[in-house]
Amino acid sequence: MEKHILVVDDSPTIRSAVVFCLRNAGYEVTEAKDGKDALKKLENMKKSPQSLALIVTDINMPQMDGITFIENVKKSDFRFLPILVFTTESEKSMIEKGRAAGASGWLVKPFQPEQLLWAVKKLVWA
Amino acid sequence: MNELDETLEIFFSETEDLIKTSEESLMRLESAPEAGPDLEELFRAIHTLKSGSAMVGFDHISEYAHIIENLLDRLRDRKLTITKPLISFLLEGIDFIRDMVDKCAGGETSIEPAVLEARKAQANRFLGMDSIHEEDAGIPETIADSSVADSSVKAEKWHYYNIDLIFRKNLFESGIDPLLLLLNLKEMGEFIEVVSDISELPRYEEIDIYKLYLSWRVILKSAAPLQEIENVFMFVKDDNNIEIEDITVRYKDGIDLKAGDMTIGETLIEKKGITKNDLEKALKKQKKIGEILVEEKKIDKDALQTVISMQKESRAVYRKTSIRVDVTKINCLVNLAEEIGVGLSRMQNILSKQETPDLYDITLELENLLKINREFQERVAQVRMFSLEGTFQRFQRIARDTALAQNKRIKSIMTGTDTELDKEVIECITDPLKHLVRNCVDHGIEPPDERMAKGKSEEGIIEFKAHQKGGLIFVQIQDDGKGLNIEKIRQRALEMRISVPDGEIDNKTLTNIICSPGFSTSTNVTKLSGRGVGMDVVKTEVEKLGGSLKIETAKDKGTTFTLALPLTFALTDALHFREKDRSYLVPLWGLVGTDKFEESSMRSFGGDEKLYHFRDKYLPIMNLSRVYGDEMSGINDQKKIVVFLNTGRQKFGLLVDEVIDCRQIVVKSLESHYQSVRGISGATIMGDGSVALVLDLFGLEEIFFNKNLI
Repeated sequence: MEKHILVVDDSPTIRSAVVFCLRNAGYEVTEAKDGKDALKKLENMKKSPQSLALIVTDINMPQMDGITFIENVKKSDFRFLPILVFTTESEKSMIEKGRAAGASGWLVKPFQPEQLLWAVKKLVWA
Repeated sequence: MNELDETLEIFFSETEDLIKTSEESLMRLESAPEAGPDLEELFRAIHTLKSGSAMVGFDHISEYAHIIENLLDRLRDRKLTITKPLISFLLEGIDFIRDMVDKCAGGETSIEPAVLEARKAQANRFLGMDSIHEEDAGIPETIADSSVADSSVKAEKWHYYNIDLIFRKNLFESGIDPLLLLLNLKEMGEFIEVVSDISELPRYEEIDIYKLYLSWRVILKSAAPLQEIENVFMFVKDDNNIEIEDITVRYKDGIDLKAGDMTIGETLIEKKGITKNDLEKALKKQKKIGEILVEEKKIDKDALQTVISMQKESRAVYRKTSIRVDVTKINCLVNLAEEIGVGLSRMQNILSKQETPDLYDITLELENLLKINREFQERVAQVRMFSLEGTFQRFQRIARDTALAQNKRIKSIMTGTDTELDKEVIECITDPLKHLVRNCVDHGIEPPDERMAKGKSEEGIIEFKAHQKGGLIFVQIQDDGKGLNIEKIRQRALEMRISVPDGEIDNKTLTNIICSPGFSTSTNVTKLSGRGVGMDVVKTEVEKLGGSLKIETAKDKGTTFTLALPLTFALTDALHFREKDRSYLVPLWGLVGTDKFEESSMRSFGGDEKLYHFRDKYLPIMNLSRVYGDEMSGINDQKKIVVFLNTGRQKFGLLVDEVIDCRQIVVKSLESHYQSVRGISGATIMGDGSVALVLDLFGLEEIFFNKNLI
């Protein structure tokens, strides 16, 4: 069974790029446009929490930002799920915030597809 | 001796060789300054030295050797040219390494970082000379390099990392799976060792499956640089205890060499997942043996200190007492030991089988055993024998340095380097001879222009020669310089109230004058010779060994110092004879033959001179009473045997009452028990407990013919 990854980003460009890259690498991908949307998607997956392998999320998002989203995930059945956050060079402090909230790793934008896959590999069983 | 000591000893002995090799190749490089086999050899030696010292934990040596290696690598790539200053620097560098090694042998296993830095800076100055090439330093070797270089580079490519992974207990909550990280790590190379620390694991009932109780220690062999290894732990390194250390220099072939330097406790922590806490708890229960004894009033504190310092000293000197022996010599000894064993059990068989054992069988077996034992003893003595090669090489080096410091040019030639001498003899003569070498270059060899003016080659020639003749080893140091200044010597001798003949001074007198205590003609003490170590020290040292020193000199032709030294102190074959109720022994190497005394074969030539006809020659014959200062009491026919001896210079006969047998003896110096007696080199204890005197052939020659030896 393909590993399932939830990608959360408000920028469609980035989202599609990430989705394309992950699908290309053989992952099954579910998209969400912000934290709130993502929590909804997670709710749907509750029946089979094992199928989800990773959450990839941006920090700055409307509706619900990444940090709040992570905090919510940590309270859910998915609390042991690895979470990869996207940050930018200018918001490096977010790495700390993300980690404090429970993120597993981070990726600084802009990044190359290989960097993404490299980071994913650290968090998801092949 | 524990294994660590053995490793160290092997290291010291190997390093000695490597340093020697390095010096040799450097000297050759100096005369033919181009990249080639000599440079390769030098590079290899330094490279080996580098890894070796790292292996035994002498990181500072390794570090410095690495710098030298870099320099040499540039030379190989022809990015640097071989110049005199560079060679000098390299020689000094090798001296520095030798110095560090010596200090390590003495227990001083580190060095002031500043000293090392200064050395590095020096090396970098040479490296900096062609900074244009600096940027391609990292490019791998080209095919042009020798295969050795290639393999060394390949070997260098591997890094060994020690990775300690101690995660926080709630790691799982951040969605990180340590196993995944380990697998990621494994992709970087090969796991040499993985140790899992389970000491934090609680009892089964208490385990919280959402908590991480384990930590790991991994030894990874990888081609990846440290940065890449660190990247594996990018997400966890900040809030977990992840330590990555490149241990390549001390990790070879699956053995963490640091273990040798560590206490068992430390090793257990590293290897077996024992925690530091466990160890500390255990250690607290343990006291040092000395402390326990002091506490129990068995010894006092001073005594403890004495013993501790003794231990330190003995650790420092073990290097000096070890020798390196050719395996074939050892194998030979092992074989002989086995043969003795076989012989003994055969003997046991004979004795146990029969009620009344056959005496003939026993005698036969005993003779066989004695024969083997004899060979055994000979071989054992050989173990102590070493070639003079190393010593001569050091002399070459000294000669070179001395010459360089004085802007003289010399060429040194070694002959007979495979001549073997007792290790102890070599050690005793090395220092006095160094002085001679310095003297030759300092006072003997003229500056190039002066040599040209005399019609000599610009390059002074200094020769180191050795050969064996009879039971003696002759060691010569010869220069083709200006020769000793006889007039100056005469003047100085007169000042010192040493009697000097008016006319020509013969070599013997000359030797005696120069070797008088405190004798020096040097008006200004140069940096290199004339340090107050006089020729008297040289002569005394040599004579202490039972040898002798001779100096020959000719104006503008040069000077030759000749040392005649005994082969060994150990076992000697000797002829055992009796004369006037006393037992004597004379070394067999000096024996020509024996003859029954016949009055008719003797001729008198006035006075006490007697000649005896032996093997178509008339040889002087003597009476041992002369040794004791008695006048020769005439030769009468009560004497039955003439023993003919040869010192290499002089053949003569000795009249004795009876020849008893030949045997192997261990000569004990008479001097240490009584006093030095001319003509007697020592004494030995015979099988029946009696003492026999061992004759000193050269002493006899001197007494009988009033001659200086050689």
